[in-house]
Amino acid sequence: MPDDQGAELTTRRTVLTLEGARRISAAAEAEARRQGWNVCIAVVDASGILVHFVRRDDTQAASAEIAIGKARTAAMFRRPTRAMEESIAGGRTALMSFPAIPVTGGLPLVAGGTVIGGIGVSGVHSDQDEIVARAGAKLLE
Amino acid sequence: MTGLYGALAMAGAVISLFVASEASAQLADKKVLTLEGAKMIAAAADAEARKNNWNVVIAIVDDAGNLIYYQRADDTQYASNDIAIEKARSAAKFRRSTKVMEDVVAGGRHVLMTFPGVVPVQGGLPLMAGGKVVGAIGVSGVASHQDEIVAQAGVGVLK
Repeated sequence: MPDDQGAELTTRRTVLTLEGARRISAAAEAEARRQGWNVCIAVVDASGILVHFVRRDDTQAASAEIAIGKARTAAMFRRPTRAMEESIAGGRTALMSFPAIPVTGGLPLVAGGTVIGGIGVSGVHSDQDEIVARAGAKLLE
Repeated sequence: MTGLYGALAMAGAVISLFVASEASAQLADKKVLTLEGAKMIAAAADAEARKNNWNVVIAIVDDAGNLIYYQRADDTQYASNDIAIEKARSAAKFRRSTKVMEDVVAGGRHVLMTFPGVVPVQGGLPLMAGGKVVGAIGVSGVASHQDEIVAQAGVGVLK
């Protein structure tokens, strides 16, 4: 919708649907089940707000918030949480002051070159969490 | 030899019986909600919401108030994210419907709002199995009494 100077005041963007989040989560959950890993799987939109969440039976209680935090971090910073963890481990400890969970296991969800959300997994080793997240994220590739 | 092994086995059985009864004095078993159960409850609630064209968040927590399952329908207001979870938590931890709490507050006991983590607003219901609270469902997105209709559809799965 242009204003009287002809400038566009609004634009459109692709957003993640619940159905999309459900399918991404199901693919990740299938991978977790195949591996016998008890994890939480969180899917958030581009603003970092939760769209879908599951906690497998007997997953450690701490993982719910951490999975959501990893998903939010990946979505809002538009990069894998591994990248932030590596920066911090490499000496940029100041990054820990960000409101983020910069721990491996969160991946951005990308559609048509745009970040439309994030997926975060927690419950097993961080590298294993990321394998589960990858199984979900790759559905969009 | 057989006699000795037999006696040992018997002694072992006696010891393990003893250990088991000792342990049972300190430990208890309880029913817990599974992810599969939570998904079925959410699916029933989701069907009710769809039928009415209501965009809502549906949250299911365990008896401790920890999230098991969550879904947000497309185009649901953002505020409902936290509210649905908090309604579910309030219903689980206080073991009663959030409507009951809302009525108490409306009746004049405003002090209930000082309880940590309580959201005494209609739309949260405890999930019962065998007379025990195993968790709760919280719904937010439309009018509170409509939220509760959606939650009720989920609760019906356990009946």
